[in-house]
Amino acid sequence: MPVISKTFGFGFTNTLRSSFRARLFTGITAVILFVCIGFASLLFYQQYQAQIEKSASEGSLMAKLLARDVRLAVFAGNRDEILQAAQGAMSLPEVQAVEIFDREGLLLARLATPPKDAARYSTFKELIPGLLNADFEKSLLVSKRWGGDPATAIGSVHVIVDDSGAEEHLQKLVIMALIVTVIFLALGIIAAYLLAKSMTRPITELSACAAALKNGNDRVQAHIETSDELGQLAASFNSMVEAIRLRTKDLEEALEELYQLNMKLEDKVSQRTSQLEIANRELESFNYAASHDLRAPLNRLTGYCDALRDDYGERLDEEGLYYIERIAATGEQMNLVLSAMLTLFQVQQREMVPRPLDISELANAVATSLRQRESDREVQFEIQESITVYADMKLIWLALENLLGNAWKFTKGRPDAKIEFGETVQDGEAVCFVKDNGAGFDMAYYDKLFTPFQRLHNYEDFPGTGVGLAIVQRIISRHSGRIWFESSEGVGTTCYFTLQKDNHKEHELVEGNA
Amino acid sequence: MSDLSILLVEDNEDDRFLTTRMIRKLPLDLIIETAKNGDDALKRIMADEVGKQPLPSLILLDLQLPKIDGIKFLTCIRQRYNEKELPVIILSSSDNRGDIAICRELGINGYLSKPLEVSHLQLLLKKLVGKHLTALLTVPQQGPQGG
Repeated sequence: MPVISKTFGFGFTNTLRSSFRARLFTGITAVILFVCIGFASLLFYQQYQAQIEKSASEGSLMAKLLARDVRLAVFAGNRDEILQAAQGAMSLPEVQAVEIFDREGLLLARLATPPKDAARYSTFKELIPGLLNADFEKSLLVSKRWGGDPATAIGSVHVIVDDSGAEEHLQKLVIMALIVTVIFLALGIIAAYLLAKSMTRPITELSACAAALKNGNDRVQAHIETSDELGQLAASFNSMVEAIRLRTKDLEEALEELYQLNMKLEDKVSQRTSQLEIANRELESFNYAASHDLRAPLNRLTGYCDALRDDYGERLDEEGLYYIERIAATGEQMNLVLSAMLTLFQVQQREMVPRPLDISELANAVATSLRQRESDREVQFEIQESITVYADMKLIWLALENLLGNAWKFTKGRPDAKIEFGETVQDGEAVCFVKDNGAGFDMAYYDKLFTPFQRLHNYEDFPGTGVGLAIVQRIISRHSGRIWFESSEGVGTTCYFTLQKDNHKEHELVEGNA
Repeated sequence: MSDLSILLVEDNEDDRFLTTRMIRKLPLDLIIETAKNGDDALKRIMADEVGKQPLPSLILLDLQLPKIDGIKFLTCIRQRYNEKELPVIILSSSDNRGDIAICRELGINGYLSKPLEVSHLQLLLKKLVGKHLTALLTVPQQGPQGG
């Protein structure tokens, strides 16, 4: 039972909390109930008091009247007259019994009806005044404290009155009042319900309209024709809906316009892209054709050069042979340039296959191959272990070959040549670096660094094609990384570059397992 | 007079000269014929059918030729002769792996990239026409390319 009542209580509280209408209705009903009960109680109390006072005053009046009526008879000792007066008093229905005593308290007469069960009796005693009191009539009518003087009294009268009439009356009144209360309460509740409903209807409607608005109906209107606050609220709501609709329309139009613009832009972009692609392809084919078609005649040149040396070398003097050497060397240099151009082209063209990569291993391998190529040089390599990135292995290999190759090249002639490869953190970003203590360059010419075929040193001192750093820059930028240099002539160069860190490792592994 | 003959199909005069010179420098007793395009080369092959001239022992074929190009020429001769009857070595400056793959499908006995390396040429010739060689220089240690 407690559980049920608790649940009910909770449910009721919940309803009250969630419904304004229920709250309003309950409030009005409670007020009506309180007012009804209050008024009824007050009424009952007053009626009850009045009834009691009435029966009390009736009883005492009866006793006084009887006392006056029987005065002469008692004085005269006329029993018949006494009885007559008593009978007169008995004619009232409330009077149950009448007793008349003489001065000594002896019962002179007693008349009584049989006692009723539900009755409640009150006894009113009155002294019968003596004859001395001449002002009797006046006292009877006017004086409240008329009771006669016991010393002069010639007897007493007892009137026993049944009070239950007052209670019956009161009961009738209570029943009547209850019926009226119930009727008024019912009417009041109905009125309260209707009032609550009429008061909350606009709110319910507004709420429904708001829900409709939320679900996308931007033409919804709240139909509330009152001019009170709720009517004003509804009007505001309606104008708000209108404003929203207009604004949404504007927004949609703007969006449409934006979409159209976007489409146009996309069209333009794709147009430009295709133009760019065509231009790029032309450039590529030119690059390809140039490096290829130049290579064939170059091969012929060097071929004839070899033939000249083989077939006529014996007939040439030292200077003639030197010229042939220079032709061959120049041909070789041109061959290298053509190769570098092809590499640059291939770097642009290569389809990237990025994967987790230990670039420390790559750097070690490149260092080993550099050492093997020029085993007579003594260069100290310091390569930090286990630097991992997410990149295309072939391209990064090529980049490291160029960077470490440059470091190797520009430290030539230094007895304490040292090349470092490692990783550091700059501004919270992981940055790889290749550092050497080689020739370095003048930072004033920094902007020439990445331009193909631009060289900052004499070919005789440090031979090369001038394409290496252009290749490296393209590789790094294809990996969405950055590359920059710090250098000082005679002190050394440090190349910094960023690559995507190996964050895809787990992802790759998961894919691999699947 | 040797019965070993090589047909060099090459459109560039300088390349023809330099390649011929390179082959002549080898210690081989052979006849070198040249053709400057696919048409001429086909005519030379067809001469065998009319009994004028025997088939060459080996063809060195440049892929980039005017008119009938290397691949078309190869397609024609492979309809009649297989790799044993008429060995063909491709000479190409092109890195086009597609072309080389097509040639492999059609049937070739080797592939040399330009510029020619004496050692590579020598190695291939030894493999293909070794029985004709009267004397062969020691083959260098380098591995063959293509072949």
